[in-house]
Amino acid sequence: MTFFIIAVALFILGIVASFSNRWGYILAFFGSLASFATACATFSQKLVIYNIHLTDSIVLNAFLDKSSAVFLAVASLSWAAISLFSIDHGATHEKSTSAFFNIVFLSMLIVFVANDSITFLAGWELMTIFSFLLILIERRVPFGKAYGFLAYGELSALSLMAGFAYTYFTNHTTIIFQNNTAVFTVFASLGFLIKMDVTPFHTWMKDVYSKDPSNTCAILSAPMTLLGAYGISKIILSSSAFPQWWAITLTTLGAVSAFWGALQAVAASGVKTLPAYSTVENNGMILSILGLSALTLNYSSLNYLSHFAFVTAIILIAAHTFSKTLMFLSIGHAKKAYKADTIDDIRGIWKGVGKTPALGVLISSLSFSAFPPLAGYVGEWMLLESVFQSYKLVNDAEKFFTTVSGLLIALAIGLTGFSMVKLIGYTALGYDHDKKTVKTPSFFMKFSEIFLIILVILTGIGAPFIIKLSGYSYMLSGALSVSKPFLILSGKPVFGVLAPTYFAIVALILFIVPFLIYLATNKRVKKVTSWNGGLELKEKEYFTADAYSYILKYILKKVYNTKEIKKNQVCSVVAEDRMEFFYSFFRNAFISMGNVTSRYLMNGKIYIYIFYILVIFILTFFIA
Amino acid sequence: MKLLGVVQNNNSELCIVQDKSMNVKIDASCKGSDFPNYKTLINRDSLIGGEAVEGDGVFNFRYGPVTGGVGEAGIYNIYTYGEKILSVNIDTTYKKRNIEKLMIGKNPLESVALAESICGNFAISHSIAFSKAVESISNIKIDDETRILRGILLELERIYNHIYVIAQLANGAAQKVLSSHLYYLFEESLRANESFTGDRFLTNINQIGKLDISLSYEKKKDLLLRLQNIKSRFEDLYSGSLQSGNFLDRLHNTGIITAQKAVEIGLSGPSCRASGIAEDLRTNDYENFEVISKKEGDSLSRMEVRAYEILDSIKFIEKNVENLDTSKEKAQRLDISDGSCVEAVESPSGTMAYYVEIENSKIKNIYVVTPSVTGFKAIADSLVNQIFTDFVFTVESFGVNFADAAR
Amino acid sequence: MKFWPFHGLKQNLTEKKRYDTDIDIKPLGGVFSKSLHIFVIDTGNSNALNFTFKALQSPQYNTHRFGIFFTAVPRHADLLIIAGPVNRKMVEPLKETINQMPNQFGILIINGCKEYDDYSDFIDKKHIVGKIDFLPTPDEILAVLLKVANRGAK
Repeated sequence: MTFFIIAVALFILGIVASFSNRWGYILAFFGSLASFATACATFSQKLVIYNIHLTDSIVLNAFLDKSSAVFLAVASLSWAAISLFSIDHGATHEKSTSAFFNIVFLSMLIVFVANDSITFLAGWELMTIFSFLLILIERRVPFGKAYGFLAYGELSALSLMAGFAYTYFTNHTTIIFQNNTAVFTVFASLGFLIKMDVTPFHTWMKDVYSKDPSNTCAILSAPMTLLGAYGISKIILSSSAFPQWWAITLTTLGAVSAFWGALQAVAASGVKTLPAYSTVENNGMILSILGLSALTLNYSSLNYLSHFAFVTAIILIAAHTFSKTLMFLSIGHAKKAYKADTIDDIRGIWKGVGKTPALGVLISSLSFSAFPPLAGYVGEWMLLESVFQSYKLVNDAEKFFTTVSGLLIALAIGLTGFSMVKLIGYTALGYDHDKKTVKTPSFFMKFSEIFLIILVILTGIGAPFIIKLSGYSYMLSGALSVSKPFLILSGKPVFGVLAPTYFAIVALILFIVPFLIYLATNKRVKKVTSWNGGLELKEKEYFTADAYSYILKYILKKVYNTKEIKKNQVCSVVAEDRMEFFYSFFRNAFISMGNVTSRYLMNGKIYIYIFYILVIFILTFFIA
Repeated sequence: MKLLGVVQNNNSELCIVQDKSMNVKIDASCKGSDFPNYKTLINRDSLIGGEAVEGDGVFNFRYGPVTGGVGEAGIYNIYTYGEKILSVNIDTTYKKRNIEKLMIGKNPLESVALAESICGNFAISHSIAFSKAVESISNIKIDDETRILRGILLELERIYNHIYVIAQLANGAAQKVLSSHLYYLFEESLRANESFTGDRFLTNINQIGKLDISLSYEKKKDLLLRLQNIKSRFEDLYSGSLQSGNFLDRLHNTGIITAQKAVEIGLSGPSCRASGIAEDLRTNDYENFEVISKKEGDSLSRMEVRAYEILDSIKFIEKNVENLDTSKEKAQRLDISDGSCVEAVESPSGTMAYYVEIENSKIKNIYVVTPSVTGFKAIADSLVNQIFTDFVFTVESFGVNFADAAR
Repeated sequence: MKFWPFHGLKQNLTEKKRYDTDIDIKPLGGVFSKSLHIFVIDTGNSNALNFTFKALQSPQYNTHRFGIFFTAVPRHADLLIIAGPVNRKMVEPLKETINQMPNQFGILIINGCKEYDDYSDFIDKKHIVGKIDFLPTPDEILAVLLKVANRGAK
């Protein structure tokens, strides 16, 4: 409880201290650490914050239990890294940015502890609105583009409200996540999955991410989507049965989203558009595995698989949160030095900016491409292992959809390797062509990157520990000369086994140590620039990232709607995200719904939006 | 009418053209800029081909100047956004040796070796075209024996160059067996040259007004035997190669030059004949000369034209070599008069023409028309909208050289 | 349809003879005696030399039996052959090519065409294993290469 109060106090102090961004970020950092301490303390004992009965039916209830604590621990580490990074990175930002950071972290903390609809929606709305303002405050994203975020945020809130309202009218209580009805499950999880930026609700990301500062992107992409996954996990944990059709929908939608995100990431040429689509892909995988966990909930015989799928989701969430934060922060570091936006312009961070951010991009990209023994590898192995067991399902429709989902996910994992090569080969380790970089203070940025690199590696190697901590130690065993808790079992009776810790030890002895010894002792290597036909490679002769992915854009012409444009002597290839159709369809429908509404809502005057936000905020309270 | 070259002469431009009846001459009535290939010919010493392309993701995929694949010093600037070729221009300047400048001020009799060194594998074509130009300025009549022997030498050059081109195509398509056997024939044909003339690349034989060669009966017999061997082996290999679907797939519909395009570029030689234009300078030299031509204009038809020409050349040599008699020593009057003239021969890759101006028995101005300039332009144009894999089959099928184009 | 590999083996195209030369060569020797990888750079020859190298790769000579291979990149080569007089524009590419050679390498200069200018003065003398001043035949080149590899006359 002490830690929780300290955390809240620090965040509030951070809001007050926004006259100096630097102090605001430092307070946010310590607030995040206090949140992490709160989560750690909760592992041994459930933390009750308040339980107020206003009337018989209106109850305010907030507590943190072991299962929520895992999510909070992951999120708070991400917050800590982001705020640490921002001490250097955000120095030039608008004055009040750090205040928004503190508010968003605080509101997320509220969501983690909330157990009644009022507290939950308050936290949720605070988070949505202030992250929207955070997008706007730097005035880099045009209002029309940022509006997509708010539109989906409100859609998510509306869906949640509907679910909560239904619970209130049937169960006559504001306490949520107990005795879940099917209607609540569907509406609430729909609200959560919108927040996870799953296809087709991802279309706003491309424009917002490419323009926004990287630390904001990191918040939007890592801890905020984590909240969506947290919500669905919470529903699954508190349900004994799950509507079958909805579970199948979640699995399939997640797999489609994973595939679509991976496909778009391959075509992406912006250095931040690519991780944005990678977020879509990863959250798709998380949603899909949560769907599988929910689906198998209905069979008592598949208890083990259901739990294993759930643990997979936790590992995937941790892997995604740490890796994506690391990726955005490292790229943000490089972007600040290069002042450019595309993969072609931001090349060779290793030489041009520094080894730490390059290593950050490298490790996070490798983690996403499932490179052992990093976090992403363990998560994706567990994911595939779970889907491989779909033959154990009884129903034919279930079998079919889970198998198709597994197929799409496997394709997505393969495509991710294809797209991550761009970040590894161009951004992290490419040739920088002696581009001019701007020197900025980078101590805290480097510190936070190293912190996250260690986290990504440890999450992979220490996966058995995380499983044990989440309360699933019966999934760990020892066999084949691997000692007791280090072997992860994917099924019972034994289906597949993995020991990432032992793998890391073997890799260290066989590859890394010999390689380091080789590097340290071998001084006779002649170092020259790459061979380019006898002449130095000029800037215009560099094999571009677009050219790297052209082959896929060409083969999948129908999917990308690839157009080759040639005007005089200017050529380019345009590939589009066809899912944007949904967004524009909804927006057009919304606009044509009433000229009056749109005249007042879309006229670009900021105070009207703030007014609208306040109205929605108040409405939320009334409806809840 | 086809524009072959533009000579700069006292601030005016002289056009070397080839008229309907295949005569190459200077036409004062023509204006160079009326021809579509005028720009290519004027800029032949800087960049040949299309213009640079810009845009998002577009880059210059530079190939050269030092490569294992092309082997010669020169640059292919390939503009692309990956896989598809948008525009190509070719930089021949890395091979520029300014040989024309070296020839100016020299006695024509001493300059034959320089003409031969422009391009080693077209040595005899350069040499004969140059000496023909000097001979017609100075009114030096050459006897029939020399004329026929020069024809034979040109055919010998054609044989080894054509075999080389087909071997390179086979090598590009990774047809290792075929290409190894063809390289064997290539080396055999070079050896045939050596045993017949004393030089593998037929240099130092031709001189103005005469040929420095003595032919014995054994030499002729030996040549015929060697050619017979080459012919039978080549026929065998060629018919075998046409059965390989993998090989033909690579060549078919690759690097297409239509007849209209060929005329626009001013293309000549086997590449032009493969586009359906039956043009060959040899029709004026020999009676009943049959021109081999194909319609499709792709790499495959260029290879077919070359293959048939190898067999025809061997037939031609077989017919003429027996009756040759070079034993008679003829006293030649070699007085170089002043004047100017343009003369052309059909080299293995197309029309080779020399415009020579002589003043005080010294070369005053010289312009060399080489088939490689138009050939490179055709390569650059036919590569557009193809993919990287087609590169080698397009480039090799034209049989052109940087040395020839750059001079 | 012929079965080509057998057809090729039956022909016995490889010539067995002694390759010997009087050209003065400083042998590389050592590890290169059994394996010599060669990169040929065209620095502006009349193309006759390029064709000679192509002819050297024909089955008659079968250089692979002596461990002699031609590489596509200087980084893989032990011996750099400069084919032709060095053109002014080829000086920079040649410098870069020499820079890319792995240490312990030799340079063989073949200057077949003496008619025009040569800018090869900058080449470090210690690497040069030999110089040929005429247009050699494939036989002669092979003999020189065997001498460079220090295999003795074969």
